[in-house]
Amino acid sequence: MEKREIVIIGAGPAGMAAAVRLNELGYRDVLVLEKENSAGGVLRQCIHSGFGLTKFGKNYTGPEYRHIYEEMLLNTDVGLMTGATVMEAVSVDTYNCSCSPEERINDSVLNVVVRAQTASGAESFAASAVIIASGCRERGRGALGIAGTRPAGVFTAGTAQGMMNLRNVKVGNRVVIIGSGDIGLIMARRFTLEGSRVICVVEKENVCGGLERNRRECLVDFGIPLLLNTVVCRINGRKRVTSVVIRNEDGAEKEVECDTVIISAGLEPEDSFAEKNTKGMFYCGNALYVHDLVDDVSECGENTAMDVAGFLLAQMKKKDFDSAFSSENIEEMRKKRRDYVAKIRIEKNNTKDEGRYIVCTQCPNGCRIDTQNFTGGKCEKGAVFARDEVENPKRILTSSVRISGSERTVSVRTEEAIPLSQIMQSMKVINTMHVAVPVHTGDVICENFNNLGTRLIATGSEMSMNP
Amino acid sequence: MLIKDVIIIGAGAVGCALAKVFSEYRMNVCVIEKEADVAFGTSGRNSGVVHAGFNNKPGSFKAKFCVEGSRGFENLAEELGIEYKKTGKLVTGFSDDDRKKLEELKKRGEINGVEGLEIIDGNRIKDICGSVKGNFALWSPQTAVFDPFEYTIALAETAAANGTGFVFNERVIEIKVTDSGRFKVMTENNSFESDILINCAGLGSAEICKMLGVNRYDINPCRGEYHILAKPGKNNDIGEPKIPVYPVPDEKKGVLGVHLTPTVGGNLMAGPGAEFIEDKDDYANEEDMMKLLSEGMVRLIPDLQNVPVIRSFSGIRPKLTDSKNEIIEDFVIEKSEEYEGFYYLVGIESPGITASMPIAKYLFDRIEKDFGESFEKKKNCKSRKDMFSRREYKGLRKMVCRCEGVTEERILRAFDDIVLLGAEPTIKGIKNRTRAFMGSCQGCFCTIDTTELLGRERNVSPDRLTYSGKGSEMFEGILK
Repeated sequence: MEKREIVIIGAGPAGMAAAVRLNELGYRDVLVLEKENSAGGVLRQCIHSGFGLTKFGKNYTGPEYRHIYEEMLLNTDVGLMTGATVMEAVSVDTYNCSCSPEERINDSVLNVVVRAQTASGAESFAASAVIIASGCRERGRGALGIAGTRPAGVFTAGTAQGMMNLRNVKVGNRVVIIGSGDIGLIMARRFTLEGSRVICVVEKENVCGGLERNRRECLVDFGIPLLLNTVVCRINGRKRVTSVVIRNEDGAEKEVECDTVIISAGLEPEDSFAEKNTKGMFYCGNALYVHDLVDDVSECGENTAMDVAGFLLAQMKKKDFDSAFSSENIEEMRKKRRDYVAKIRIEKNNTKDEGRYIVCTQCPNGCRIDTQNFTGGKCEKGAVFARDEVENPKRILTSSVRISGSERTVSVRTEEAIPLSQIMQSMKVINTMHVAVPVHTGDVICENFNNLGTRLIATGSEMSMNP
Repeated sequence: MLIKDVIIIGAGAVGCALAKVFSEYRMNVCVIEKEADVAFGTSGRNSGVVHAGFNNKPGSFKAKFCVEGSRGFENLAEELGIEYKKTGKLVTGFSDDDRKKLEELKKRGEINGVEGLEIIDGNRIKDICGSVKGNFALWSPQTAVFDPFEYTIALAETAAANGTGFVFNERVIEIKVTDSGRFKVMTENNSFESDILINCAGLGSAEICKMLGVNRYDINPCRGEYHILAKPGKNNDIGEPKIPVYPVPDEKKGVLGVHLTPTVGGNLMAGPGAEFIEDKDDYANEEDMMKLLSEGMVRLIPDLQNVPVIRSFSGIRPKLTDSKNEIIEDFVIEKSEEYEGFYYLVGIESPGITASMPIAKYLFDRIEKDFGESFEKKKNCKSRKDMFSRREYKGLRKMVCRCEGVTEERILRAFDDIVLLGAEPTIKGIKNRTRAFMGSCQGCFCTIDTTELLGRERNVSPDRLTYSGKGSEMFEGILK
């Protein structure tokens, strides 16, 4: 049993931010456990842009945002153990009940025991404080109760995203997406860019579930229909999906041929391994509750780190410390969040893009700009954005480029936004390109990409052909 | 001394039990299966209960073999090295009518030789399983749960370790009898010959019979749908019931009714429904039935309304009717009058798995008697561990499936065992052997890692990976 002052479970955006902040606060005995082989969490597969607008005032892709935090993390004394999957995090009392008298922990400073599995076997850690930064998981088909058969070709959006962006695998040709949450929208665009046909996105509510920015840039840009008040009520196909049946609010049903069904029907905190109401256990990021923006997740990680510091100081003085992020208060935090999300949904329902108005997507403020006189923005960006949207919409193109001599890819972006009208043609160019390893985040892959006057740069990094 | 060539059609529980029994003798045994792996049909789609034997008509094959199977299962499980939990079972009732039916069941069970049956009152129900509703119940202490995948796989592996050959993805399309009286079994791509032919084709058994002129049986597929509930965990403390809980059976339909069964893996299952369907391959779930199951399980235990369903599936009972479309209540285990050496088992539905080993032993003895001479037993019989799961996988203990705690090592072992058996490696086969993909994430996380692992360690490219065999390709191929 290894003893640590603080153990952080998960090296995604929440865990990395918490670790960096704890290091800034002077904590030197911090260990981060990460189940994947590198830090970054879900950011590694989120190769699209839209990250860092509030935190850094820049529009980064997921891998770039990850890179910034990874660099910060590597410049600290924080220990990072990769390939370590946490199977259980329990209070010392619970642990003591289940082990032999010799193994018991009698150190009053230690509160939590974490058991992890690594490539070489099981490892256990006892810590004064543990931060659960394990992110969230997707709700799958079972939770939706969709009737029909169980063929291959039904994936959650995150799984499809991982297969495409991390493994260079083509998931399907004709795609129906269930749920208009952000990942569903992002995947609608991603499938379209990579040559698959997205037939429709169905949403059971009467309003798009994802951010307005994503609705516009992922669906409207590509003419993908969003069917509101509609559900997929049946999946057909003996071996691979052959069709789905969709049903609208009037009960009218229609069969839609497809070979792939993508489910983006909500996320849930992934904390099934953590014992409830455990002293010294704290939550942050999407493991606390699901956030819309990674910037907020990082912020949450930092705030939790502050509370952990407060807790450790109080424990030293043998005092109590009340934290909103503590295991004991988690349900209250989640309830508050649920109420907030419900409120936002109602507000959103009342402020739809009604043709005349465009919701500015340059930052999360979401100002409604009147396209007749370009007013309504809280800052000058709004008018510029709306004018461009009307006259010549531009987008940052994100995709991946094949690594020479390997079946793997590295994620890329255009440095500047390019005309929307050039996007599909630019994809053809990207798909013929190769890049040699090693390639680092920020490396220029092409100076004048597709003669559009912008550079194509790597957002991820790959050191060798087959790691 | 006789050495015979034996062909068994169907690698379900009964086919694999027969293969195991025959493999202990000096015979050449081959099992032919249309699917990519064992237990892909009815044997892998049921409640996973070792029935005690009180539901079946006294004197029937079902009653006899079920009680024998139940008594011998614990030892068999130990021999095969598989999980077995003697949980006991409750059949709960509310009305006077229910009580009468339960008394009848008890009496029937006692005639069949089931031990320990009791009618108990509400207080005893509470003692046994606090959350169950019921004014009284039939308590069967002999009932147990097991993993039907693990069981069928273990039988097949034991048979293979003793020399049985398995061929998969071979659907039988025609059977001829040669001039010398041998059977020539034709599949789409191959043909196989034998002296003895045993039809254990489950849902396809009537079709196989017809290939050799036995026309009097028809399979009436009767679908049973299930819900699988999330495991009780650190965030879901409804860990009840820990034993199977059944309502009073529906005599008219000849089925046991929507019940709750804890699996050995720790999930709770609700089901099955019962619905006659046209197509014996239609493993769908229907909206109405899914709703009915959700209501049925909450009726048995109200707290279950808060437990999420993680997957729904269905199995199909091969219910048997004769040429006049009358239901045949019992298993049919017969030999052909026309062709010596052709044996057929049709209508093997519940309690088919419980009964599978006694059925196999009974049939073996009968065949031996028919041939009028003893088959020679092998001196040393091997266990499945002599052939399967023997490789070491150093440094591959990284977790692939956190929900079920499955490491890279276990995925690779399953893959290698599938190859050793002669089956086709599929996600479903790996799932059935490891429980990866069966957890509450239902593959959200482990799909990516498993694909990567099989590519890295076994050179399986993503476009070759299937869910359950040809046609069920998981992916289209390389993106760019």
